[in-house]
Amino acid sequence: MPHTLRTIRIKTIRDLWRHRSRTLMVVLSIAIGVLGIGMIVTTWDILRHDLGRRYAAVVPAHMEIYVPAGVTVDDLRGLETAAGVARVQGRAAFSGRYRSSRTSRWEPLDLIAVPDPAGQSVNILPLQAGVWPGRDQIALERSALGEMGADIGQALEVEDALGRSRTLQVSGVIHQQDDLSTMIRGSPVALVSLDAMTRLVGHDRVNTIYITAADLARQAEAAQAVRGRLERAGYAIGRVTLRDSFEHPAEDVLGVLMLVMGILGALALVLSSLLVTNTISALIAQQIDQIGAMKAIGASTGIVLRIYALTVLAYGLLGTAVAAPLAERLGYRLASYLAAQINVDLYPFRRSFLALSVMLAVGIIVPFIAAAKPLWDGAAITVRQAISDYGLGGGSGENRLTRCLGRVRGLPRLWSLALRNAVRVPHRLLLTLLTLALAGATFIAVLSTDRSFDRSIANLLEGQYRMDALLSFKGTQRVSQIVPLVASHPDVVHAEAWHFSGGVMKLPSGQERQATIFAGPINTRFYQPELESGRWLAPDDSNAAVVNRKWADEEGLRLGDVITFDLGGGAPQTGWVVVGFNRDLVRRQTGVFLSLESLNRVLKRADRTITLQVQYAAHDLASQRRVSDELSDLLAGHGIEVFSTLTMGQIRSQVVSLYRILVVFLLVMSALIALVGGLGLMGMMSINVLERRKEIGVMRAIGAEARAIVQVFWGESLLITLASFPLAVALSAPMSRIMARAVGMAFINTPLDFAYTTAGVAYWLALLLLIGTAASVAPAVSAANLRVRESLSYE
Amino acid sequence: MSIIQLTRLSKDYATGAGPVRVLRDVSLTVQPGEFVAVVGPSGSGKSTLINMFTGIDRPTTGEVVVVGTRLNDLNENQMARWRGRNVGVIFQFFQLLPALTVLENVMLPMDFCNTYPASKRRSRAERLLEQVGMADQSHKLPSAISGGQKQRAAIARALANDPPLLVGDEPTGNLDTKTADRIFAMFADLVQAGKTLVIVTHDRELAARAPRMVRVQDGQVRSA
Repeated sequence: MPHTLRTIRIKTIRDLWRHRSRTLMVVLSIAIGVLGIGMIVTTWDILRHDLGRRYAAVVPAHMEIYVPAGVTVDDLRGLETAAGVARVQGRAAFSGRYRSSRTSRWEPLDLIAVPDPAGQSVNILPLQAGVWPGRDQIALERSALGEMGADIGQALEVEDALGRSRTLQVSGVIHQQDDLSTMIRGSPVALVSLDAMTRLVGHDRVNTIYITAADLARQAEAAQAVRGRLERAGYAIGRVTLRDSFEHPAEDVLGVLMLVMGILGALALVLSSLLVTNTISALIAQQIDQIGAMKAIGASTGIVLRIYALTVLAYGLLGTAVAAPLAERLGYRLASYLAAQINVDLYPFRRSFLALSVMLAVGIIVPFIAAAKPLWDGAAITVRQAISDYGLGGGSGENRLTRCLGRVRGLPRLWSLALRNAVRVPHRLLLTLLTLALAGATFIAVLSTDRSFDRSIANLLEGQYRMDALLSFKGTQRVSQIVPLVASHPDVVHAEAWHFSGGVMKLPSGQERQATIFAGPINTRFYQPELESGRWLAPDDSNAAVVNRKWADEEGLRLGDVITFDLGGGAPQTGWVVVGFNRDLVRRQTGVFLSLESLNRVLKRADRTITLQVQYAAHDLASQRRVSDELSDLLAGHGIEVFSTLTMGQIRSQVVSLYRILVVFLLVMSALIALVGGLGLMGMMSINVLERRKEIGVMRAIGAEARAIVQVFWGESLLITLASFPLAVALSAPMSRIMARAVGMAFINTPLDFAYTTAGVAYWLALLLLIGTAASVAPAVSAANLRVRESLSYE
Repeated sequence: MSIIQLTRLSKDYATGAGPVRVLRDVSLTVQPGEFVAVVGPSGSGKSTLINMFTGIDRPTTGEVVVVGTRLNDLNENQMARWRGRNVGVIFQFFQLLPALTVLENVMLPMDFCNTYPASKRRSRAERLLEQVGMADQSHKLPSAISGGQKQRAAIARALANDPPLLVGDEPTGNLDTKTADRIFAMFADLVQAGKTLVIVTHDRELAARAPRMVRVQDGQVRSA
């Protein structure tokens, strides 16, 4: 037996070497499949591990308590002795704006302050460079540096919402890992000392308390104890959040990203295994006479099976060896890119043993599954069948399809030859068509998902929210003065006063929730409510509210329920009747719509607003910026200072920034799949050339020039790609819907407004023609270069 | 002027054991309208010899002039075009393209060499098939007809571009005696019609019916 094994090994190695180009093709196909899966698993494994470790290092809070009016530092310290509490950390968060000495434009800035920054214990913000900010200093979050164009030593003018302004020098760089990066969240974050905060906002109280419990299982009791202490000290609690997961905030979205890419990776693997099936069956078909000879001299089916199984094993190992180092590096780079987007540093490059194991398993097992049927069919063939060569379809040319196509008249001869050649080995054609069709369907589905996302965002932002910019002022302004003033600008189409604020909402059940209040004119032109039940606000309502249906469902709210708001600022608590439920994807969590008139009445003021929504004549980002700047100047001339402007373009780019990352990766994966499709076709064409060497010789012998030979193979390749096209289009419709649904649920919690891309279909057709040409170049040229004598003597 | 003029041809093949000389200093002349049978034992160099004047193979040394063209000077593409117009090749195993019907197989050389107007090719192919008695099989695929029928179709294909020279490598080697007889008679008719015909054959009896016999042995032409 050992002797048999040795000869088997020798035959396997020599066959691999003798048919180098075929070996290369199979190894590459396996490598691409393994690469796709290996890359995704590496990325996922490294991210999961590093994100977890980095995030654990900041000591994430088990619970957060929001106190709108803020807690004094002394009272905060007292909380550490509350029952079940391990550590307490306070943080003040307030919004402001900044401008650097280089520009005159004000930009929004989220400011935070923590007592004793060097001694932070929960949700730690470590200092990465420079020193902690002192009285006239500020430390910037590192992902904000580029955005703000600022660095240590530079001076920034910072203002709070009420217009108190200070010039602060950048003293250091902090790293915030409990929130997303500036690019994704929109506005930059900076840390100031409590001193500086006092000089800006007039107090040094912290409004968010981060707590870790001594025993995580008794987290709720600890939260209750802290809450009790605060309430007894006279504080109104805004919101208590118990966290049950200590994953990085971005881990959810990354999970979805990895899942979608994992599915595409698996698809690439399936396609590459179809390629293996095709090649192995061609290899067996070519070696049928050898199998016959081996069996004639005494080889059993088992031995023959072992010979070819060894070949498959060699392919699998070689493919994995090619893919694994590449997958590890690409996977790590992909993980680094994603980590940079969410403002986390990875640990240095290292192997993912999980990914290596997956790649080894996939690289060896999948080729075996793919080759199982041709292997068995070939090994089980009898000597008589093998010698008569009728056993396997080697492409004699006679089948129902070729007979059928034989009746097609009027095609140029070479094209009709190409057409019939294409269908000579139906199972090979079928697998190649399937590979190309799946590749095309994925490509179109990715582009359709992108288009659906664009449409959803457009529907949401431009359909439901028809403003171009949101202007916020320093202090309240008179609506009757400011609206006509803004509307007098030639590029302004419409302006409305709106009020946005956070508030604590008490549900009929007595539970409290943090809500966002949107109050505007009831006949607004800026918000198109999509009412799902009930009605919109009416002029004769006194205290009516429209609530997001999804949220209402979660909280068990019904039409006619009364919700109570604590609007802060000394205003009395007031009840509001829920008159309608609307569908709102952007503010789905907490949005409650009120009439501005009713709200002003409760706040005991009339004709006042702090924000204005404005619609311009042009809606591009440049125009939105330009008109907003001109409006600021116009209003400044009337003594009204615009505190900040937020354009629709800015909102849009924030919403889409994370999503764009997904699209880029999806496109990369679909390119990989298209590559597998191309390789599959190239493999099929190379096999065809090998099998038809004699025919090529005959064609040369009866006068065919190289051009004619190339035309036959190129034509065959093009015809196959074109035949796969309608299949791809048909498959792409359901695939696009499923993908758009999954991505929508992941990113905006609702299926996307589906849009199928006909442009994507056209792109795929163009790409197919390229693939069809590229895949046939090498086989066709090798066919054309065959010498007549060699091809005729070829066995 | 002779139709085939081989002057001092030699042909070597490289093998693992060093170069092997298959043809040695061969000279041969064939006149237009001749019917020549090339005979000799296996491995004597018969096929290599005819590959020299069909341009399927090239000599190591010596000169080949066929139908007035010096083949030594042609590249592969020029050779294919020249061959398509001037030589009809008939193979032992017929070598019809399996994906094309009999009629299409016959039209193919005209397509390759653009010898007849496209609109005339079909009727010409039909006429040729009629001539070889295959008109009723013209729309079948090669796999659906017998060996003798395949060879008749292959002869029709060889005649497609009306070449002055027809060359067959064991054209009856794969046929039963009766069919081989009929094919041979067809060859004689073609020579009568003015074609030059050179065939390699193992069949002594058939060879003896050809007006001229060329014997090849050990790479040399023994009698011409």
